[in-house]
Amino acid sequence: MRFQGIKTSSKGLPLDSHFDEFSEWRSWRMQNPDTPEILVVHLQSSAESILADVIGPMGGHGHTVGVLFVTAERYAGVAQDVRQGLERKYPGQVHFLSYPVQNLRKGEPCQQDIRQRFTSFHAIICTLKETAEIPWHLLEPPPWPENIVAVYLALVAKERGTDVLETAITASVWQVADDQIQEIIGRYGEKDTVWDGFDFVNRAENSVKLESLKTVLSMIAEKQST
Amino acid sequence: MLTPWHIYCDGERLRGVLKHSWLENQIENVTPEQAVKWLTSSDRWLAFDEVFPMRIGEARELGQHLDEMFSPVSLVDQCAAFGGLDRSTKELFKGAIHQAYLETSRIADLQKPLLFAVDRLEAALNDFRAKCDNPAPNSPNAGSESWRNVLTVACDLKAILECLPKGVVFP
Repeated sequence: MRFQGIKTSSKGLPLDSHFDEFSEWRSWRMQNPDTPEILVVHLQSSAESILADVIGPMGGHGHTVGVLFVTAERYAGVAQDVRQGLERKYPGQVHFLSYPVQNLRKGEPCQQDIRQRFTSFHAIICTLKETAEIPWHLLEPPPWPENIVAVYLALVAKERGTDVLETAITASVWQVADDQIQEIIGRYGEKDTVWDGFDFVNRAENSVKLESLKTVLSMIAEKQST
Repeated sequence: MLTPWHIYCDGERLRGVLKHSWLENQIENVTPEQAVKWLTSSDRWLAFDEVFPMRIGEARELGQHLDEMFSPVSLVDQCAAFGGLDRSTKELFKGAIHQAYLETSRIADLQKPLLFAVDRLEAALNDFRAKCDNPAPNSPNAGSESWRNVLTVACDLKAILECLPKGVVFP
């Protein structure tokens, strides 16, 4: 497989023409011109018409095996119902990037973590056979940690007199949330200043847990890029 | 406003589309000369006639439902932990979370400025159309001047959109 900008520029602009710092993309395009390709499309018009043109309603003709839509908007600005409809129609062949890639036109360097994901993705797909599933998930950040969110919302509601802690937040939810917090703190290298020594699961007071968790969420919000 | 993980929601989608696809790509990038030429040409300016009214409607919808569109209530149904709650408990739970979010985020404070900016942009676009459709013989630059006003007002709306959260807001 190789990456290549879409050829019909009236339907979508080739990402590589705006993304000069991504020299890898130019070299991808030059490799093995007869091998299957994944198009990276800076979506400017209808995703459906592009897919119909390059993949076709029956799926998989010609060299195009997948289409990645990227813009400075999350999910390329495409509404959820439209997106899901297209993902059903072209199973495994289409992906809308869940985060924005800024400065596509300005040619400015993009964030390191985004570059890293694209580099990893490219390295993997170069080793795949045409019939293999495209590992779109490699382009995505980790999903938001559901158990931390559940614990946090339950603690907020408890503080306001609505208690679902006993009914919804089981021991395993607490434990997974704790593990997720430790992983996040470790990833950001803030263990000493934010969380060191705090036993989240066993600490008795819910108000203490809520304040501690709020500190962690604020730290995440401050450090996150996508 | 606290938006860890930038969790996607309707408000974030609309904010992004309005700011980038519309204001930046279809208004900010258009010079007064281009705007007048496109609107007065025989081909008409399709985006102006078809997309702009739709975006005005979306911007107004965003303003009118600002509090709902960024609410963490949407997360309750996405967390498996809350799947076993009975309906009435879940509604009470959602109500408590939504109230906490409204009070801590003060997102409603942005509603009036947003709707006001939308009204101003709609009026500016209507003025631009009127100036182009009925050019005054003694004011040959009226269309260009009017588009300059569109650019200014669009910039104000963009500034407000940039103040909106980039995902679900946590209480």
